Amino acid sequence: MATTQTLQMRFVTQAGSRVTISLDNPRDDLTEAEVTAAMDQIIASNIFITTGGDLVGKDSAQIIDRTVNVLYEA
Amino acid sequence: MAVNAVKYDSDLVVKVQTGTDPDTGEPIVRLRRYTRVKPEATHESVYAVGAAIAGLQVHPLVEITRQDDLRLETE
Repeated sequence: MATTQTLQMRFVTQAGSRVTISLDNPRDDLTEAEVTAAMDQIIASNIFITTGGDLVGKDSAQIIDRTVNVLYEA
Repeated sequence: MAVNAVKYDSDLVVKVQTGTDPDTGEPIVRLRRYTRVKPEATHESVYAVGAAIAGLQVHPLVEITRQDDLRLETE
C-alpha cells in the first residue's frame, strides 16, 4: 500500500474562475500561515498566464491523499 | 538576413532531490515543472515563486531553473 500526498493551492483569477497549482510531497508540518504566505507570494509575483487573466486572490488550499492498493501484479 | 529571437513562452522548473541511488550513490533529481509562465516575467519573480513552492515540500531543493522558448523571425 503506497500513499502519496499532493498539496493543491486554488486561486481566483481576474475573470472569477479558479486555477489550481499542485505540489507533490508537501511537508507533514505545513501550517496554514506557511501555505497562505506562499500563495500570497505567487499572487504578488504574478508570473503565470491563465485563461482567466492574472491570479488575484486565494480560494483554498487542500492536501489530497491518494492510496494505491495493488491487488495483483504479474 | 537578420533574425530576431522573440520570447513567446516560459516554464519554471524546480529541481529537487528525492533520494540517492543505492547502487551508485548518485542523487536522484526530480523535476517539478510549472508551465505557462509569462515570457516577460522577471527572473526575480520567477525565482521567488520557485523558492516558495520548494519550501512547501519535503525534498531538498537542488536548483531553480527557467526555460524560455524563443521564436526566430526574419525582419
